[in-house]
Amino acid sequence: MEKGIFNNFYKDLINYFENGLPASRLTEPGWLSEKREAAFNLFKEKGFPSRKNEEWRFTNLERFLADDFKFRVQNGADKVSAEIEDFEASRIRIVNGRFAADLSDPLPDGMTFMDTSAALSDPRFAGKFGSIADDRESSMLALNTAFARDYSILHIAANAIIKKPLHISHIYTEQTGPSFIPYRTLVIAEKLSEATLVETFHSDAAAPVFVSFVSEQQIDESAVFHSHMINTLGENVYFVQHREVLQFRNSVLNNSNITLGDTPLIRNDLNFRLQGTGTETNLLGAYLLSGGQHVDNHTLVDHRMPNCNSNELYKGILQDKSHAVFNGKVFVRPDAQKTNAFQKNNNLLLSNQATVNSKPQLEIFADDVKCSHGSTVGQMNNDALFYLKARGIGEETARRLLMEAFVFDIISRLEIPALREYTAGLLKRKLHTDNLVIA
Amino acid sequence: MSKDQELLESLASGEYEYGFSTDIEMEMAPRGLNEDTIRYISAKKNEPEWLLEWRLKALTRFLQMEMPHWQSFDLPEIDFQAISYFAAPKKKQLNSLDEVDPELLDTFAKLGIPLNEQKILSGVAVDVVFDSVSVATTFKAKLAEKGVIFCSFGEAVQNHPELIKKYLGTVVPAGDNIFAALNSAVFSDGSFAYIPKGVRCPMELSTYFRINAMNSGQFERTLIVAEEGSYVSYLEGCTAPMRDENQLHAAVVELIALDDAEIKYSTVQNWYPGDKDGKGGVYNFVTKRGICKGNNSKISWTQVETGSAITWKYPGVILKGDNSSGEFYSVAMTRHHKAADTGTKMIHLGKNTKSRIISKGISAGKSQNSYRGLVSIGPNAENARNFTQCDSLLIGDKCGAHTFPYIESKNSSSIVEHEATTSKIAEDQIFYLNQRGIDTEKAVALIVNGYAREVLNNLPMEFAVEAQKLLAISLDGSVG
Repeated sequence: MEKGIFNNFYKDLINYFENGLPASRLTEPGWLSEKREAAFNLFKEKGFPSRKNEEWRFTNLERFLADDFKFRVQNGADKVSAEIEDFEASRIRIVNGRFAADLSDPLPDGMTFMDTSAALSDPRFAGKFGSIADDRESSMLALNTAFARDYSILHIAANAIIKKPLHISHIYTEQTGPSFIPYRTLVIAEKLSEATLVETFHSDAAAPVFVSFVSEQQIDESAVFHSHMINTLGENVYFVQHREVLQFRNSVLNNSNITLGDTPLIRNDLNFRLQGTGTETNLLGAYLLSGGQHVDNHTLVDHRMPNCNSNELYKGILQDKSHAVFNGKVFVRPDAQKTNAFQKNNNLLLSNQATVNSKPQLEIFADDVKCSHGSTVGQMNNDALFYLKARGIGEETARRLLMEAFVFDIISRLEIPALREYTAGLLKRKLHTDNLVIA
Repeated sequence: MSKDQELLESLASGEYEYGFSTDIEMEMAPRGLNEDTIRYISAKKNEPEWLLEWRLKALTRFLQMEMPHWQSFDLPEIDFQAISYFAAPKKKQLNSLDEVDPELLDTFAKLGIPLNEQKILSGVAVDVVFDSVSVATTFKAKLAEKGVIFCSFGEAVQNHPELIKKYLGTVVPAGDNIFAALNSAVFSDGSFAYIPKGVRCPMELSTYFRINAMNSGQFERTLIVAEEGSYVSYLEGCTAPMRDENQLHAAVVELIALDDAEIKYSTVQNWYPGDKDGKGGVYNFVTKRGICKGNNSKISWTQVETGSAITWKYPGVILKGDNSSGEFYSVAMTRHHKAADTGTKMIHLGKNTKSRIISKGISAGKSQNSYRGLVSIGPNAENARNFTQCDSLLIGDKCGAHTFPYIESKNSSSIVEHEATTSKIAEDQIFYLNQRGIDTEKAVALIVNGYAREVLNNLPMEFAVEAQKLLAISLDGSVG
């Protein structure tokens, strides 16, 4: 129905899949090959989504897909600093999509991490990849299913309460030419478990990198899962992420999504399917954009069952020629009575060349619900600015302080102190307030 | 609980009171859409060559366009070739109301809006569009005194071709959307109002539209031009007779406000919504748009939508002049299997432009009610300001309420605010009223009325009565 993008990159991919089957594929399980095949056909038919597609209306992928992206084999060399200071956590590194065992820590009891070969051969998870997210929904998802090279599984055993957070650093580095990195992960938090996952994204890519990352998550009955994403990717990375989360009865999910890097393109599709009653979903998001950055956050909270609560707050600052897209959808199915769903998006638009497209959406098919959303686009509060200036703080400093405060509203809600410090530091660096002296 | 159930059922099943058909001799064009149809319409209306050309161009555009598929309801197949594009009552050219077909007068009497009474009591000049041709126009003399032109579109083409030529299609271009293109090609009649410089129109201008004649989709075209410093309030109301076949209504309304001018456009819409099972009903696919062309101008849309099987329209304002402002107030009530996909577009281009959107949706039965709106702030719209509030009320567990706001801002000194809520009538509110001896039925009516008040208050006095009446009918069974 809608027109896709069928550029050179598309043609290369089609050619690659149809002609050059890599050796690794011969050994993979049959269910995966079948899924790949089906997903490939979907992608082949649809192409990359173009702006004719309502979901991609404000994000023109064509602009970012001009490079000659190839599958390349890179070394897992590690020069990127991906540490969070004073952060007590188990560390796992994923370099260019692949698990780097030598750079990773052992995990506490109850928590298991599996790399590609273990993940694909474990009979417990056979067929699990691609069963939570539905490829028919998006051709970018189908692209990942068809081409994903590396897989990993994070498994949290039933009843395990894991105090120590897991820190996964995704690093894109040492590229010899424009690269395409499609990879995928699966998170299973079994019933009555509790765990914290911090994911940070780093890069020092010399050549352009196009990342397609899909994360499928299943939060079982009464499990509590905290998930934080901090994106500090650099200038050469185009990042497209799809996250599909299934939540079962009485489970709690806290997700934060913070963008403080310099990457030209970020597209996040975060879908939360509330499959059981009594669940709670809290979503936080922050973005601070400068230059020509384009950040597109799509969230979907799909209330399928009664008595679920969801809460969403996304805040962003736009400078220079940046472009932010927020598309938050709350879907309340006919059976999902007693739903509470709240959603808010606030933007500070600080340049006449920047653009905000905000589209909070409510689609409600049940009557006994409380749903609301709000969206604002505005500027600095002049009174607050005046207050600071009256106290001898210069205009520029005052503005930066107010911007910091605006985003800090999100950062201060992160429950881990080290993480708060880390993101506050990133924020300061991006705002150039780290060395500001307030007289 | 059973009381509630009864209430909900009665609310969802109130029958359409105004469903009746009037037998008046009709002159009809053969069914079908092609160049000949357009030449036929144009010739019938004795139109100048340029207008025929304009229509034909629109037809070409129409034939190139595809039906949209982004709307939130299922768009039924429309066979454009099965529609007769011209229907006119045979009697024409009446000088006074006495000459109007008694049956037509009777129809209006049934609607509770007898022309005579209205003429005397309210001082409203009524330009009656009975199907496609204006039958009677009143108070012309009084308006002429002030220099106000208020006549049917056909007359305007004959008497003021220069104005029509200058403004027609400037706000809603022929290729704007498929239904606007269709209208531009085949529009049969409509209203034209021109308010000269500095004139405050002495009365509310009003048109009652009414669909009649089997299978004659109505394609009205309204054009209102308010010159510098003028003011006009325009009322539009519709009721349609009950029938089984779906009828397409694809009107176009264009408003043009020059420097310091103000246009207030109010609509009460109660076309036949189809029966309880969703059979029949009018498709109300209307393109309405105004442009605040001059500085300090103002355009305000107020709509009360209680009818139609499908209501699909987005009255918008292009805020081009500096300091101009646009307003949109809407109550949309849906029940049975009705669908409403309505909202507004506020396009801020000039400096210090302001817009305000208040939308109240009420859905009952198995209906779907959507708000879809666009607020766009251009890079030059310094200090632009928008406030949007859209609330939805759900009555019954089979209905749906949806909100799709598009917010786009490209200016760093503008402020855009949007908020939306969706809920059902709170039980504590009903309980509170019950406690004070008001039964549940009345309590619901009271709450709904209060809920819609902010919009109803914006209707002109003369119209508020009808609006309240229609809302009451829509809530039939619950209002005592």
